[in-house]
Amino acid sequence: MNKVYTLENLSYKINNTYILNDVSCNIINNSITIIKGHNGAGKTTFLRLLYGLEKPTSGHVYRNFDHDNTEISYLFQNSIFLNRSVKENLFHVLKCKKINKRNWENIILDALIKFNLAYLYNQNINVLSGGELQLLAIIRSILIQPDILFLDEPTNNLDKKNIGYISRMVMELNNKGSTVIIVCHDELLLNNFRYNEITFEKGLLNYA
Amino acid sequence: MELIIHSFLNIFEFNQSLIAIVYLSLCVSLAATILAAFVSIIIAGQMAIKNFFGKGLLIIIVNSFMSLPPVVVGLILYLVFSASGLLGFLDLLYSPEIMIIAQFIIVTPIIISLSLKSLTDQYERLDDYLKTLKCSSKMIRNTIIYESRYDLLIIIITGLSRALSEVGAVIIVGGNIDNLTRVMTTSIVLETSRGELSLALSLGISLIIIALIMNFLIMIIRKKIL
Repeated sequence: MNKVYTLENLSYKINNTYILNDVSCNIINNSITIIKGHNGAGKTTFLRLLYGLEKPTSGHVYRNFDHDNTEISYLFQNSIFLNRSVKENLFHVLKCKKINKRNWENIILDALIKFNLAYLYNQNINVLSGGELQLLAIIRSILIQPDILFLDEPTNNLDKKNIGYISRMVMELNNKGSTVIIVCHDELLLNNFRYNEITFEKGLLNYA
Repeated sequence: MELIIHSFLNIFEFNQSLIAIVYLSLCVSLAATILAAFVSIIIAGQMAIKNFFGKGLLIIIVNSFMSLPPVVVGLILYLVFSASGLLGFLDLLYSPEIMIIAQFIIVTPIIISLSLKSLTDQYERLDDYLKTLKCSSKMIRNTIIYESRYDLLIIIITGLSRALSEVGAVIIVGGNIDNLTRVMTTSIVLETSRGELSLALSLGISLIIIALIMNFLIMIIRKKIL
């Protein structure tokens, strides 16, 4: 089994308080990994360290892939949007990914239609509901099929029907070869697929 | 009372000399502000997204230059551009071009300093998101500039107000020459000293009207933000 990430004795502390302490584990290629734990257990910090948004206090994160040629997407717990329309927010992603401008509209409309959100195309981001924003953030993270997808609490603000959409989306991406790493407690989402589990308790890996 | 009526008549009858002075003032200040905005926003954008040695010191220097006395700017430019000065061969002294340079020097630190705060706030808000998109530095800078567009517009209008109301530097380097370098503020100084209070008051009223229009614009932009 190929390992995408190898973590060795990873620790992260803020003001002398360990958020993560001596964590060692692997993330397997083309797998679904669920990260569980109580609030404040260090799940989001773990995800940020894995991606490289934070630097560990000690220990190593080995990334066993070419970072420049691997498509990695990240859904934040509190989604960040540009103060523009839905369409322009999605255009921005495609512009950053250097996708041919002629294809932008089709890619975006296809993605919005999949989630029954085509009516939001020209809406300003400020008028969207919490659920719509969450779905849009998810759409944005899969606009270009990612090789590795990080989802931090993807079911926030979503109803049962939309959680079903997310579940199918995760399975579909995984079947196409994506590695998916999810911070989630929602059994509605987790019941639908097989996954590896990492559980944190007060910054320590719980192997129980 | 007669003086006030006469001043308003000057404005509403489109007094030719008054129009020429207002027109030159707007041209000089707009040119200086547009140039300053272009340079300042790019510099502030780079400063917001990059950490480099001496950044803190640079911010202190820029902030200090915000309160640069215009007469000192005028004096330095006079020394540099006078016939015996370093750039005297350019023959720019007593021309609208050197007035633009003077106002550019006065307005640039103001726009850099005010923009930096707004752009840094945007960068902190969007940093993680832009990192995950693997955006280039140029793309990050352009994104935060676009995201701060309404704040930046207000800052540019503030800069324009500063340029329009400036008198110390332009009177030294421009020389207040009729039909060439006479702008609203220098003209008010001259007309008041000559006892031509009606024209001075007309110019003062014009300046206030322009300030009101600018504040009205700021209000519209703020409404768009909120």
